[in-house]
Order: sequence, then C-alpha cells, then structure tokens
Amino acid sequence: MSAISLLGSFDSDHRSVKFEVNKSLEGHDAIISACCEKMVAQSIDNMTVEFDNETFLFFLKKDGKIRFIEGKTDDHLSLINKVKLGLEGQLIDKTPNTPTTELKESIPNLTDYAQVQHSMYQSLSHFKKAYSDVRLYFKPYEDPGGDFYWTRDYQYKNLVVLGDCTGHGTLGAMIAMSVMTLLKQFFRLPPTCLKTAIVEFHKQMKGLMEEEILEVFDVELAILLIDKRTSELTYAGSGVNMMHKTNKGTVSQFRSRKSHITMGKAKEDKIPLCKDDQLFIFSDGILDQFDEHNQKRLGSSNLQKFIEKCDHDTPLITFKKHFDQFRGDTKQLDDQSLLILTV
Amino acid sequence: MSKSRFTDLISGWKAQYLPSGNIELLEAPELSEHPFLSGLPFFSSITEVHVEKHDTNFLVGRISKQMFISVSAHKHKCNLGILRNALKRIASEIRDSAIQSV
Repeated sequence: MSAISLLGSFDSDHRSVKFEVNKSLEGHDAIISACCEKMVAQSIDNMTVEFDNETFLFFLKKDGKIRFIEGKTDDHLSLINKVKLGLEGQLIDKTPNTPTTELKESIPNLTDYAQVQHSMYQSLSHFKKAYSDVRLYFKPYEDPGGDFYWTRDYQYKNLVVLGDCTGHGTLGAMIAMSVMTLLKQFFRLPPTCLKTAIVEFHKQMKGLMEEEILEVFDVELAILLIDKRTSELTYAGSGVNMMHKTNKGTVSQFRSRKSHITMGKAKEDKIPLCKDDQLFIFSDGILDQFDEHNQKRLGSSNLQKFIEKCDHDTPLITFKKHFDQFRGDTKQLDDQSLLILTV
Repeated sequence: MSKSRFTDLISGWKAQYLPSGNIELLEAPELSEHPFLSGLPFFSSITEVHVEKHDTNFLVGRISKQMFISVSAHKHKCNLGILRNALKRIASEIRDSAIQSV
C-alpha cells in the first residue's frame, strides 16, 4: 500500500508552507522550509532527499510554488509521478488529513503495470510549448487506465492527442501503451493533412495487429494540430470530441465518429484561435457519467453548460465542482479524462 | 577511510561506468559547504540526495558516515536509472577497496 505522510506546497514569495495532508504536523515547517530555501537558492528544478533508505521527501518547482510530498522509498516512483502529473489531488481526496496508518488502508498501491504506464505520461509542462495554460482532469476507472494524452512540438506546429482505448484497467492500459508507441513513430513529422493522417494511422494500427483479436485492440482519438504561425487549429477525431470556448465565452462543439474513419468519411475542422480561447477535449467516460440519482447521463449538452459556466482562470476547479455536484455518489463507469488547453 | 586513497581510481571508474558524466568524492569538511547538502535537515540520516538542475541530474549517495559520492550527468545523455546504477557500483567498489590495501 502506498502511504504519504506529508503533502503540500511552499510559497517562495511569502516563505510560507501549506500542508494538505497531515495539517497538524506544523512542526515540520522548518524542515520543509530549509529544503525549499535550498532549492530556490540553488535554482534546483526538483529534489529528492532520502532518509535511512526508508523514507523520502520530494520537492518539485511548479506554477511558481514548490510542491512537496513525503512517503516511503518503495513508493518513490509512483508518488513522484503523481506530483509531476499534477495528480496528487487523488491522494488527498482519498485521505483527507488522516494519519499515516489510516492512509495505508485507503490509498491503493500502483501495480507494476500502472507504474510502467505512468512513466509514459508526459509532464503537463510539455503542452506549454504551444499553449499558455493546461489543466487535466484524469480519473481512470481503475489504475492503470485506457485513456492517455500525448503531445509533440514541431518547429511551427504542435500536435496534441487525447486517446480512449478499448476497455479499462490493465487491458486498456496495455492497449494505450501500444497506441502511444505507434503515435510517437507515426507522427515523427507533422502531418500535412490531418484527416488523411488519422485514417492512415488507424489503418496502420490495424495492419500491425493483424494477428491479434482486432475487436479488442482499438482506440478512439482526438488529434489537434495547431499552426503556431497563424494560430489556426485543425481538429480531426475518431470518437473523442472537443469543445471550443472563445475568449468571449461562446462554446462550440466539434464531434467525430469512429465509423466515419472506417467508412472513409473522415473530416477535419479548421478553427481560427484567439488569445485566451480554451479547448476542452474529453473522453466518453465524462459524457457517460450518470447523475446523483443514477438515472440520466451527463451527455454533451450538459457538459457544454458546465463549460460555459467554467471560470476562465480556474476552469478545472469550476468544472470539477459542477461535475461532482452532478454525479453525487454515483460511481463512474469508464475512464474519465478532460484536457483543458488555454491559447 | 579517506578520499585521497581513491583519487587515482576515480578516473578509471568514470571511464568504466560514467563516460558522459562526472564523479566526485566528498568528505566531512567539504560537506558543510556543499551546494546541495549543506543545511539540509537530519543530515546524519540522509542516505541519498537527487537534484535536477538545468537539465543535469546530480545524485549524491552516502558511502560512510563521513564520506559521500556525487555523480552527475546531463539528463539527455544519461538517465537517472543508469546514474543510480553507476553510483551503487562505485560505492560498492569503494567499500570493497576500503577493506583491502590500496
């Protein structure tokens, strides 16, 4: 079982420490401050200090603050990946200010599969080469999951992919890892025509898996290609949809269907972007979430309403608030991912 | 154990384990002025420190109560796993050498 004993952030401007787990351990302020001051003074990007080969403290500079986490050395990789991916909130949700002994009971340990898959996820900072801000809601049905995100930056263009693989859990994760590997190979150069590229990608993926059971190995994708010179976005998808929110608050939906790819009717949308426009790319696990009475699914029209209400500066927090209110205690049925990119 | 005993061996280990990086032995008087180690809390309990700075990974591991080994390499030339492996091998060789005549 993974266990964390400290989690929080250090504000280097105000020299203050804020604990999000184990708030009562304020005597640790001085220890955390000493390490964070060292990071600031030496311009260190991230630092791990291991004590007695048993426990570690990890510090990461992020968004103008220093995030820190303390845990057992055995869980080092999985915990620091959570922090790097900005997913450490999952640990808080499950363990609000409870002692370490209780944390052990409530935090699921990442399996080896999950650790391998997590190591393939990129840091969100990679998205900032073409976008001013990026937020991610990433909640697998069970860890590891079948949703994934990936980006590649070219000289004048930038590619972002959100994928939703068949199934969830270990099966979904194994397919996701294979698809990510294929994507990296396929998109070594920027595509000249996105709709042709997505059809060709699916064709090659099927071709590579000709010996496998095809109905199991499948993926739905949203691919976004932005031309950094003209700020024109091209979107093509095979089942993962997108909404575009202008800086004036107008939301437009862009949908795609997997069947269009197989029927050779792939299309692409070209969208001129302005500064502060936002793009919401989401897997179907979000749309398929049932409400608190377990009777009505969210659907794209309700999601559009949530997005219209999202605050520009804190889109993820406001989305999560509306989404949590909608679902109440109803369990999720699939992997859920929402990637929010601000131009 | 004094680091002067191992000075000649360092270049051999560097060529063998870490051709694209650097290896340095640190002894007690230097530790209080070391950029990464000085001022850290619970110093006597620290067994390893990893620092990433300007795309370079620095790994400092404890060999004995008074001696540390620092290995470093650019992260695009040598990943952290290889760096950690090199540190363990060199630390092991130093411990072995310490109980033999050098």
